Amino acid sequence: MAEHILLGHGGGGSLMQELIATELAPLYCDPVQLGLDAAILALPHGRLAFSSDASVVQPLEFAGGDIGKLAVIGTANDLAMVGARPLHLSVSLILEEGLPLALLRRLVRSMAAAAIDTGVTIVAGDTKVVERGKADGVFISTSGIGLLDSPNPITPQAISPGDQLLLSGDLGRHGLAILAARHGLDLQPSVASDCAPLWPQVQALLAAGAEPHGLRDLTRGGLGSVLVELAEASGCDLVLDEPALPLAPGVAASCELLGLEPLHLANEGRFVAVVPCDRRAAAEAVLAPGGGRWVGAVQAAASPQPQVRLRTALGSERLLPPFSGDMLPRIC
Amino acid sequence: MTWCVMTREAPARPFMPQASPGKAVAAVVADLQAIRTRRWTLMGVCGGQTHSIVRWGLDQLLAGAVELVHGPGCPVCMTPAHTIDQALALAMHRGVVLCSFGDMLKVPGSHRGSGDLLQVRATGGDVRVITRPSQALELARAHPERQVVLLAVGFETTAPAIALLAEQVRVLGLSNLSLLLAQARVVPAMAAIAAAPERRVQGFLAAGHVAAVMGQGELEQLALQRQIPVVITGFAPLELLQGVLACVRLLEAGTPRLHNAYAQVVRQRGNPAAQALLRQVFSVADGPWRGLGTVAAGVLQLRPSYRHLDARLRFGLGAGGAGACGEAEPRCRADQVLQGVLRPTACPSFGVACTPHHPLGAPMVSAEGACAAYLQRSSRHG
Amino acid sequence: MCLAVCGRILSISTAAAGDPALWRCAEVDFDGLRQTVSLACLPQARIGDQVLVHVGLALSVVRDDVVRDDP
Repeated sequence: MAEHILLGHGGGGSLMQELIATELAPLYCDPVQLGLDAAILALPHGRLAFSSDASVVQPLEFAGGDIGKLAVIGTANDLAMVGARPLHLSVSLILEEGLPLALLRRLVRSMAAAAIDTGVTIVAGDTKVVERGKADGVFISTSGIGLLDSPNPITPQAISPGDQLLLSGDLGRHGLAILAARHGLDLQPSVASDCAPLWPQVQALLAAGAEPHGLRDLTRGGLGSVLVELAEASGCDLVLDEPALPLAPGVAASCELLGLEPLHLANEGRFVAVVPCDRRAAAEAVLAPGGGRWVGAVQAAASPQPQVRLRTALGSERLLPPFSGDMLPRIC
Repeated sequence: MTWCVMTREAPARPFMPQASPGKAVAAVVADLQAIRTRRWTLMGVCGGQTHSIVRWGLDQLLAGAVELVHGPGCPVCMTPAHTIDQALALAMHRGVVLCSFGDMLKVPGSHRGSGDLLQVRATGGDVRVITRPSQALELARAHPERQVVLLAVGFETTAPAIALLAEQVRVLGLSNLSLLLAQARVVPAMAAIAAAPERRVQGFLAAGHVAAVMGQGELEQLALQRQIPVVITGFAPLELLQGVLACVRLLEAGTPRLHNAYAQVVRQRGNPAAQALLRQVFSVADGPWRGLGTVAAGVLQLRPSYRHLDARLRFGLGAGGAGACGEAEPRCRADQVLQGVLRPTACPSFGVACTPHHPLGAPMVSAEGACAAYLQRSSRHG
Repeated sequence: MCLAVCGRILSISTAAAGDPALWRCAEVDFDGLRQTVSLACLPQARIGDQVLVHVGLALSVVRDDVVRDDP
């Protein structure tokens, strides 16, 4: 077999069948699925959650993970954020002509391992190949379904003044690992992505009776962007205690050097939980072993436009700086 | 590790207590309240000071005691619009790689709808974000078939690195790297602001890192000639507040002179090696600051032996004169804001027609810009 | 202007050819982030010095023995 992906591998003919049978089969725990156009599932009773994602990260491999692991865990985590136990995933691959097969094999192994780690089965998928130069190596699209475990809906409309904000762990590892890989930053010790399944912590929160009003994972845009969305959706102000925010080692120094805002760095294994005031202790007990902690509270909006405010170590307050989506380093 | 980048990391500073930064800051503010007899208006010249003031809410801690005005010392705010137009044109040029510091990527040009460097990148221009001029050198050496252009903005803190790049390019004999120069000098701009008849600014907080390069001499002269106190400050919140306190002491004593509150970094002579490099590569000239007009001795230009590195000459772009700092957007009042005459919140477009997503002018573009900085102040503190 | 950060010099090197002053560099540690920094403007800098760095160029040796004086 060729050592690189060829256009023919996406052509629907024998090359493609060989690719699926040889390289992609490890993704599916049930080989019967490979021969069907659609997966047939027997689902447990209850309400289902459904989520969809695309992974386009560069570089494809980085300290602590790769695009495949991100794709599988990312969708599973989206399901966990509405209180759903992740069950099944579909994985669509868009491969660039010329992608080394050795790299594809590594990504497939990684996705299969992530699926086991997350407790999901990959039941459906698709493979396409585009011409060289049209896909940055690999694009991965995943969709997933999960079973709702939470009795109460976890929607931002449930967030009210008096609720407490908790983080599940330290901030910035994934964003920094990607920056380091892209820009050749020499970090000692090196920083690995925090990409990890969140359902175990969420399940423990629900079991402990934390009754979260909000759960959001802190992916692109970081904690900062999530809080802006929660403030807008809930109509409340969110006030962070800045000294309480846990930054991963190396993040503070790197952000200071490059002139980046740590709160906008992406995380792939962290979430923020908004819980009622009387559930704060229970939530803290669940999250503390993973490095989680209390970081702030929800207040009634002080102005027509809900805001995210940070209380500094000096007793002053500032607004979260706006983030349009571009992480641009500054010299000034 | 929790997030409290209050002071520089090691070494320990003998006069900056490590424990309880809130207490140290409160003590400085208390001292200030004890000695002042009126409210004073101070201008922090440097965008880095603006960033620190906003990030730590220092104006809240000083409310009532001192009004902190944000000055023009931010390359986003003062780089002439004409230069941005030239950068946009070059970036769209086939065969050109336009290198820029991240700060400049969202600055609009002078024509409505001209876009910015990010938008040019989206439509096919080769725009690279760099954090150090040496990256432009690496690019040029790796791609001899491309013309690398560095949008060289900044002040005397950045100028030595640009000068070093110019000398390295000259020594290596590279023919595919040039500079779109927009290097400015801070003290002449401070002098222009101090000389303005409607001046509100009573004291200057001078940029510590510019002074680390240039030393204290020019600032001493400024203080004397304009009879205005000048204090060189650092950028960590405690350092800045100690600088504010020192300035208020000078104002209360009626002593308009220079004081160096950043002695751990700034020496009387500055950095002689950096100054020698600057003199070798640049000469001083009158030139435009966006918002201020022509500032006497306000810009740097390449000396004859380096003029072959001038991107404007290499690509036939034209120099652009004083008229090049006019704004296409008549509603923008950047000139009054940057001189400390108009508070951004008093501008009718502030936060309404003019926001960071849709800036009418440069001071709303970056977080260090005088106008954008005001937007980040919590509404509870006005 | 002037986002500059302090770091400690771990090692110093020069290019094999050319003017040594022009190409003198240091490996600097910024609290775990290591970068190569030019020492072209700090000929007096030594290993172990804490230096102020802006856009990859060291501008000043930080002195921790300075006593603050008030005006």
